Amino acid sequence: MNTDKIGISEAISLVIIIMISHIILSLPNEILTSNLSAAPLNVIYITAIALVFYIIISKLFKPFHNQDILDVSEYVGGSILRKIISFIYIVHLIFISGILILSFADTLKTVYLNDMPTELICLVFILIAVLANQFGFKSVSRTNAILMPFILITVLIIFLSLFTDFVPQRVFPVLGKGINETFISGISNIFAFGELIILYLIRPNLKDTKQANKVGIISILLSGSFLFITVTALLLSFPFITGGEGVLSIYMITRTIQFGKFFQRVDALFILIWALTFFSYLSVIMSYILKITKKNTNTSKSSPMIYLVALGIFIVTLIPQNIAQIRFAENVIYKYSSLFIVFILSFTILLLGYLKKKKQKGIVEIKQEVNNES
Amino acid sequence: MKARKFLIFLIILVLISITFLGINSINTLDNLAYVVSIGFDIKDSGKLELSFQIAMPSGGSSSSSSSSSSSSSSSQSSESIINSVECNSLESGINLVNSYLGKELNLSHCKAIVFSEEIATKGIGEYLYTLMNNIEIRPTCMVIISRCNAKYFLNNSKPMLEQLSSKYYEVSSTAERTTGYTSDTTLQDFFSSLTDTFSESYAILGSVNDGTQGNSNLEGSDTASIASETPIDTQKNIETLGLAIFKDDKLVGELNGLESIAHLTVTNKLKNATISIPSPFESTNYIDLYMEKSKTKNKVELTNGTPYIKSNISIKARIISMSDDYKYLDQETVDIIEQYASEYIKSYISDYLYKTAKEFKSDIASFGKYAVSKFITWQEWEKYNWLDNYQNSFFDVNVSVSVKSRYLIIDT
Amino acid sequence: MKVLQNLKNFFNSILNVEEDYDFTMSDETASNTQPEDLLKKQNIYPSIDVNLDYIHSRYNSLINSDIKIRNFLLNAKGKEFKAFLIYIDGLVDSSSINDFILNPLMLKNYSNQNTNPQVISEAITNNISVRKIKKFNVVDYIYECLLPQNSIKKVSSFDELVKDINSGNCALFVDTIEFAFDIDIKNFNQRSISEPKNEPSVRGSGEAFVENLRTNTSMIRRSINNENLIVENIVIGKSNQNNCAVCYIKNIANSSLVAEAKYRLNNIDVDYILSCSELEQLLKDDPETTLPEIMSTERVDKTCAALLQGRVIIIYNGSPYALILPVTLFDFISSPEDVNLNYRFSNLLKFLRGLAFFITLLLPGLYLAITIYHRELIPTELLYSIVATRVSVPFPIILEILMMELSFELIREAGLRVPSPLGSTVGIVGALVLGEAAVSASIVSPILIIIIAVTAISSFAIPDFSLSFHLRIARFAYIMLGSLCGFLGIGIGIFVHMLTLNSLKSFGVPYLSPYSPLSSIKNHSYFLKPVWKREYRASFLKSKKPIAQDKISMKWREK
Repeated sequence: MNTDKIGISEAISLVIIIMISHIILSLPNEILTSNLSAAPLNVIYITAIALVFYIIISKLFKPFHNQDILDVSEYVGGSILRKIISFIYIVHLIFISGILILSFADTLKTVYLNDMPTELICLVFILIAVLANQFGFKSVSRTNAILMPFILITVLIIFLSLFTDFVPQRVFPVLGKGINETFISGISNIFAFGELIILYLIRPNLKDTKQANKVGIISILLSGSFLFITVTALLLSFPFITGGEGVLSIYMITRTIQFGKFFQRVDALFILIWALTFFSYLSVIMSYILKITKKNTNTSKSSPMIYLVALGIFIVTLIPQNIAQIRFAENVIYKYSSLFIVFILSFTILLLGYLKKKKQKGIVEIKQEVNNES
Repeated sequence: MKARKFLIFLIILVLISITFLGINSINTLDNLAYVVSIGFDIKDSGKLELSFQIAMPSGGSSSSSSSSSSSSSSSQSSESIINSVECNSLESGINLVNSYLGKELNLSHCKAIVFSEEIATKGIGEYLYTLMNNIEIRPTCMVIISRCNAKYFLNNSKPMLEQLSSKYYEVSSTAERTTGYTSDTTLQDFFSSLTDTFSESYAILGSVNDGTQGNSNLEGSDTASIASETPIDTQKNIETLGLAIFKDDKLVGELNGLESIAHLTVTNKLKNATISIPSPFESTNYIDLYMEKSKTKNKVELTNGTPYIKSNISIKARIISMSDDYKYLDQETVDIIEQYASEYIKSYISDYLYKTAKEFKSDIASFGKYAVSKFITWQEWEKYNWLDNYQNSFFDVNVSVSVKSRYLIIDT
Repeated sequence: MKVLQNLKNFFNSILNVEEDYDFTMSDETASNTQPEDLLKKQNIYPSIDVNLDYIHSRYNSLINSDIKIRNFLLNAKGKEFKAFLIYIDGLVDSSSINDFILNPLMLKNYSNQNTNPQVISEAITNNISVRKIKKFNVVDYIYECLLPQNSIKKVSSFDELVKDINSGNCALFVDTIEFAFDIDIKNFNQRSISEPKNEPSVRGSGEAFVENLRTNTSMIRRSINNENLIVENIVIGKSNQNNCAVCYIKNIANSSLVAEAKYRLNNIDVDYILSCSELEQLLKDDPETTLPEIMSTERVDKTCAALLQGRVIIIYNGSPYALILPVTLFDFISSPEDVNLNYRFSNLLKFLRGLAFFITLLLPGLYLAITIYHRELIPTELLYSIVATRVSVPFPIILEILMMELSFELIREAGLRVPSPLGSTVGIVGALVLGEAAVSASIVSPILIIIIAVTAISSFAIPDFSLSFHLRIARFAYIMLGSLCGFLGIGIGIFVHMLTLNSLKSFGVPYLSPYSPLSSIKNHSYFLKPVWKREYRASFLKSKKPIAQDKISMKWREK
């Protein structure tokens, strides 16, 4: 099950779904409040940095053909380091999926299902994701790949529908809160690319490194451009978002979409597409958690673990009590944990593994030379 | 396979329990009362008075047979009822009406929100925030400031040429596209101008016209009239003409029809309008010009902290009135008319601009967005505080009119 | 103890998902065992054993069940030659073979026993008679004297001979002769074969399968004149040992696919099977789903098209349907009329059918979700007219929909059993009068009638019978979900439905090919290409000949 080969488009969809889920919730809002009118500039900046970062990672992965970060950590520090890294990854993935599902369930409750308790909505999401994983990783990735074009088209429709109401002058003042905020401390906004965590794990499923490079670059460019589109659309249409007053920013855009005087308030259709997005997002994250556990525990069937993981995610959704805590978890805790795990910890381990491999190669070459001479 | 079946069974159980535990109250379509418009008034005691115009949907199919018999008396076939309640805020008012009516009020098809002049002068900011926070309200509904009581306004809003009052509001808002006498301000626009740092908000001005002749000594042309003062002899009904100007969230002034045309021209939102200029050939006649396209380029420069605003307006117009001995095809005549029209338009646009700056001190044309590009960081912009500096601005308006020929008759 | 054991089994069955039977086709590209060029241009050998071997390999007669080879000894002028006859069963007139070929050649009669030489001319001089005797030429002798058959040809190349055998002739090989005799003796069943009842078409052929297996295979053989078409015979059933034929084209179909089909057929252990629908249920990859994974058709042209694409056909004796495997979901939405029309018309109809697919699945559920949960989506005027018509209806919307759906299903089921004079009357009575009366009695609202009617009409636009059954069942699930949680429920339904579709495989081909593993979309998509651009066979079938035609097929356009 770990070595099912998937195609390029399926791999790209697996990576992008995380970014899209964050975009639908409060990611653009977070970037706008920290950078005000310099947000588009900031987004271009962090996309470029993420691209450079990924190119470096792919170079570091070169000596490890078709192995993921867990194999590299085993190579560096033995099975203990691998278990530690797996544990950190599992906790991180459970946490972010739980928080995101809770955030979306809260949105649904506010907007439509006023009387249902949020726990019940979260339970429905989690059960559907468990059912999806019973069908296998292949079904999950293929469904994801089929849904992805529709989701991307809806984001584009949101952007285009606001096009006539743009006030381009809202992009001034150009530097927003200042150069420091935009470029230097603004680099912390790269937590938006927390989807790179999938790129560390996806390598065994791809055919070769060339394909992996393609997948990484295309997915970073695509998700960066969609983030740019959403942030720009929000910035140029609404002033009050910059005051930090909007909670569900993309939803508020969809409330104002109208086609003539006949079709108004079409936000219900977008809720349908977003529900599908979150179903597939949760299934994808759960399947990756299962892959990591399967690698560590030497089991042939991963089915009973699904229930444990589901229980873990459900417990996480019960923790925050109100929306302020949810936003805190989403914007602060997720930001720092994602920055640490994706950009610092994994990068260090890869670097160590690469250096170790280089050293070993050097030793092997020296040994060969010695043998030849003697 | 059995595991999958068990899971599906579990999911179905969870979903069905939602119905049977009574968590979800199935509120079908016909258990709700749909509000068409809301009116805000303030009583002398300081309490808020809310009026709701609720549609009775049974008028949809049956009124088609009854309206053929009663053609002119529209007041009898109105299918909406008005309920008013005295309360402290919007939500508590809705609660009180819910307890009175059999059905629950639903605001998702509300088309117009009407504030009276008194409440507008006191400030409507808090009501707007409540409205924007409400899940059901459409951000695309109209905001109308009425010169009379909001309740009186709603009571007299009876559709003359339509069956459904909701469509009436929609249709009347699109009339501005051909006349330019008012603007189609939605709740969204009003709210974003309110919270913007470089513009102020404005709303549609409306009133009830009860058929008494307006002031007959109006200087100038027909367009210098304002809502409730148009000299139309008709039954009692609402009309919307002109704009209401706000500073922050308080009403500070009103614009008449001609000034609304000026406002729309300066902000590039004018679709079409008809103005009549005094004829340069005969002082008692008027020439009607139909303005097709107007393009405005605004530039703002800051000299020593005072704004200097330049507006270059180019208008394409057509002569649509005819009298019996003028050769409007002559190049000379056309030149004279163009020059005269430019002067006339420049004068009323300058009047409008200085009125907003000096009298109302409110930048409704959002010139501030052209000034923002002069600043580098947000802190500098906030320190400058454009909205307070607007009253000191100087205007330089240049208008160029190009007149095209008229429609069917060339020469008389 | 037993209770504990049962509990343990229960938990085991819940928690452990058994691996599904997973079959994937192996990749085969142009792995012919013999280069085909060498097989052409071959002339008849003089030695009969070599000829026999050649015929065995060319016709795969050891596995091909309807190629008949009859070895016998031919008597000519007292000499005996080894000979054999080859023909295809079902295409020839067996009694003519007996009477006019085997009889004169095998049974001893004057013509073949007579050892006197043929005299051309005789001259008698001085009591010495000089006779000019015709040299004994076996070929001429057989051709001119022995075979009282009206149409015989002498051929020396295998190519020509094989072509004629494929079309129904029978061939006679004799030892030491470098020629073979090509005898025209065709006889096959013509049109007691009727029009297909359930799959009518405007411009296609009007032939449908019948109950006799040999007739069916003969119809396929007539449409596909290729010696590589293999018709294998497999016996199924213990008490009722019925024949079942597996047909495929040897140098196009993937051999692992063929092997899998035969493996499954040979390992069915049942008492009896009476129809091929039961056989279809026994062969399915995933028996739990209601989606069909094998297509059954009664049209001959559809079957032949499937064979030429590289699929495998199973025909069961006694059942007028053929099973086509493997299939994808999009094959069920394509109608057999599509290939007969201009490709633009076909694409328009395919688009319409795709729309009908979604309407019949989702429309009642969406209506419920919108009217209960998402009222602001409806335009205001439409909302008022819906509310106005619903004012006097006593039932909630969900009950209305269930009642009307149930009555429609009852009408449909009853219409199948009504004797034909009354058939149309029931339809009119049921649909029109009932619906009309229900509306005027204010039991249901007229908008609901429109929705139910549109849904029912769309379900009739789906060409395949079994798929429309599945859609009927799924529609009820969507109605339930839509009424429970609105668009969230519809989203749940769509997601789980898509998961199910993606996890299915039909004989190694993913069910949503060519869209689901996107890599194979290059050659074969849902919408048809023009005829001159269909250069490739579908890549998900992994056939041995992926290229079907040249890049330029209209060579008459080239100057």
